[in-house]
Amino acid sequence: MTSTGNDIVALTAISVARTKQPNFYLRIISSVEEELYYSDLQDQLPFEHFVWLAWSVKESIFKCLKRFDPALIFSPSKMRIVELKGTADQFHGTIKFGDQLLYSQSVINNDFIFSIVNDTPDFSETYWDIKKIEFADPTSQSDAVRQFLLERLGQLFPDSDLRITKNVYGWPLVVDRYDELPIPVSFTHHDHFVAYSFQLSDSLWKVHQHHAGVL
Amino acid sequence: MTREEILNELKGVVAPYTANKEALKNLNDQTDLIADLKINSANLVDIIIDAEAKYEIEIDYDSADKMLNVGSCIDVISEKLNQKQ
Repeated sequence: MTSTGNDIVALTAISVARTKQPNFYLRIISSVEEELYYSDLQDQLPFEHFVWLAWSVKESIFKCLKRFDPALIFSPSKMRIVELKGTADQFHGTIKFGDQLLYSQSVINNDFIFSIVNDTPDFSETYWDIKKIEFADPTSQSDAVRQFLLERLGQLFPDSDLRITKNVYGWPLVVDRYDELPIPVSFTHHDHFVAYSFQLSDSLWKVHQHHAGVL
Repeated sequence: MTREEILNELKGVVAPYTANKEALKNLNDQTDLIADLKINSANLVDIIIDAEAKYEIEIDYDSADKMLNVGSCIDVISEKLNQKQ
């Protein structure tokens, strides 16, 4: 897939009581997904974490697919988690959206739930990272997540002059001097956490290194 | 209720979730909840639930999906209020 999508939910910024109200959580998960939780997952994570894990997975899918369909509307009720397996802090999911099957990986701890999605279960070409920041205002979040990504890309492409811009739909683009790199990126932030994901194939990285004279 | 009355009340509904108080003061139909008010997407469900409680209406999933800017929020709330009468 030439896209990526990720999402982070700061667990310190959500209301547990509200998340447990059916009129709230049934806007994020379906009754079928609720059954999935009680049959397979209730020993592994609290219900409110399941709800927000579902949210982060579905939001990631939306970000991933909107790159191909700018008119796409985020509609969690139309996405269905058909399988979710894992340990206490890592989960792998399979999600059905229309005719498509997508795959997720999520990490969870006491502070946040973070998810990435792909159209295959193979995430070997998906890069991501999470960082805690001092200030949680929108400008600080936006600046911090861009700087965080540029630091990582700078390690992978040391001879480049990278910057982040936006396309007409507001999606972030990676630009090396004047050329857009074919590296889809996705940003997310919530409260004091920021994270990125990007998709980078081995072949693209080698081509770029070759052009830069590194390989 | 007129659109203007709903607009003014909507300020109170979204206020707890926005950090951009300047955009809140200048709320209009085109104001985008995420891009302009900097509301985190995780709070969009809160806004729908709060609007349902405030106006004693039920907002179905398809209508909720459309509530991305102030104009569409007012459209949905107006429609549901009219259905109540």
